[in-house]
Amino acid sequence: MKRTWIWATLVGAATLSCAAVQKLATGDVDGAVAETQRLKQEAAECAKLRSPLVPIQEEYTLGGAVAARWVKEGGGIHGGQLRSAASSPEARELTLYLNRVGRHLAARSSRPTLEWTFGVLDSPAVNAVSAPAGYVFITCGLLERLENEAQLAGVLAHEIAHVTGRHALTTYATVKSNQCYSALGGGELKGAVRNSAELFRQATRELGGELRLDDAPQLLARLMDDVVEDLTTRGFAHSDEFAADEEALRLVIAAGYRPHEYVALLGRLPDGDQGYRNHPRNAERQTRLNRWLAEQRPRPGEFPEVDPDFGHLPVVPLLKRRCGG
Amino acid sequence: MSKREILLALALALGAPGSANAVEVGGTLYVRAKDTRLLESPSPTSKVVAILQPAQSVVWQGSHPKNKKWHHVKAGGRSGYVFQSNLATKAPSMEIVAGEGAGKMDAQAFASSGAAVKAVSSGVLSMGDQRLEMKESILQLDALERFVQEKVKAEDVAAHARQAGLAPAAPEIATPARRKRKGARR
Repeated sequence: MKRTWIWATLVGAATLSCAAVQKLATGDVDGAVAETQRLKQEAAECAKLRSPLVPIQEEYTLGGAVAARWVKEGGGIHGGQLRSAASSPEARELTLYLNRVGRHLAARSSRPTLEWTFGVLDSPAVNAVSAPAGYVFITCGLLERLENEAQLAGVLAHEIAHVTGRHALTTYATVKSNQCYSALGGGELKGAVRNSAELFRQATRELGGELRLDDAPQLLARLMDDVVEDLTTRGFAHSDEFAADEEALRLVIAAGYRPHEYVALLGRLPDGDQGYRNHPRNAERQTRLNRWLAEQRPRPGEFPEVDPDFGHLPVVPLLKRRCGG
Repeated sequence: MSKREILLALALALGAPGSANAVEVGGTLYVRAKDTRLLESPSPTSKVVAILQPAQSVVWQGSHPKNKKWHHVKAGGRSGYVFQSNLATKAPSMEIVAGEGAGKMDAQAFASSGAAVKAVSSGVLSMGDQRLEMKESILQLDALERFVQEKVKAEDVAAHARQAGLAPAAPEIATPARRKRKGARR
């Protein structure tokens, strides 16, 4: 009876590890219970890693890995290795222009002191992507669809908003917490994760909780794979996309561009296709944004968070839009 | 609740984007952009009274009656005008820093710390050594990062904004000494 009760308890807790099973199989009931208690504690520790507020050092490393993956998927950086003699002056100029526009926007974001990096991906697909730590990319295909700088600003601002909203970091935190649990013995052990138990323990113990990814490139690669897979198959939550759209309009207005251009652009982008497969429908995004713009009226006696004259802001011609020159 | 959990909850509460707070005359606003200029009069060419940094608090005295995009503020015993888009009702996000002095840092402290220096890290470069199909992408990203850091100056961003007729951007007055970030392989 006692053994049946213990089995029921352990299975009910859903934390029966291989070690606990082995102990139980050899009749070590107390050992199995102790092992299960340990796992429960480890699971509670791993749950602490579910916050998207990861230390900046960890964000740099994860962000760099995800950004490199976007570069690979996007056909490489337009111009290749931009500091090499083989890189074209046109590609460098386009990159400089993109960074001037992007940094002007990012300076008004909620993470103004992050070092933002904007790049062009050599792909005909119509897409823009971002990665933690302030990496933002736009494809040649999307650049060619833009009519003015206000539209470019809207696209970049939407991606900036994903970074400041820590949307990819929310995905990462879930992946990391799950892999922590695996590494500490509560699940199936796989490759790099098996050897990373101490790194996870350190991360759960220390104030600031950094998972030192620079010390474990294999673990970094595994985490990056899982994050990218999640982002490409499921995408961000629709609520995150809507939030990024609204924040994009705030940034565009704060930077001094006419916001309606971004709303208009959404109507000309592919719907449910290519990189926008997981986005909400563009018509719904436009409806929400038009409603948001209509709600932005200054209240007498209060500081106006949004420039009341946003309807009169400039559109600004695009200085450069074509990857081919 | 552990110290770490309290820290994270506090940082979330202080830094997460959310709905705007109503601020009336005499209320507190926060500087958003780096090197924001506090000017003697509501004009971008006016005399600079002080340079303000992100997360610095100012007291709102109201908008200029003729040019409502300029706001009269008091900042640490000085008063002057700041352009609208450089002010916000909420402080910028806190950054979380690990290692020595671990904890939350406001945007101003973060900007002047070594942690603000971003680079493609040693872990990412090592990943490229192990996954050869990623190698070229990582090298291109590293080159992009360094190219942008070398070539894109705050003055260039400000000049572009000026020429395009956008919200004024303050040129960087003093660049903090760039330090090599721990773990970065340059």
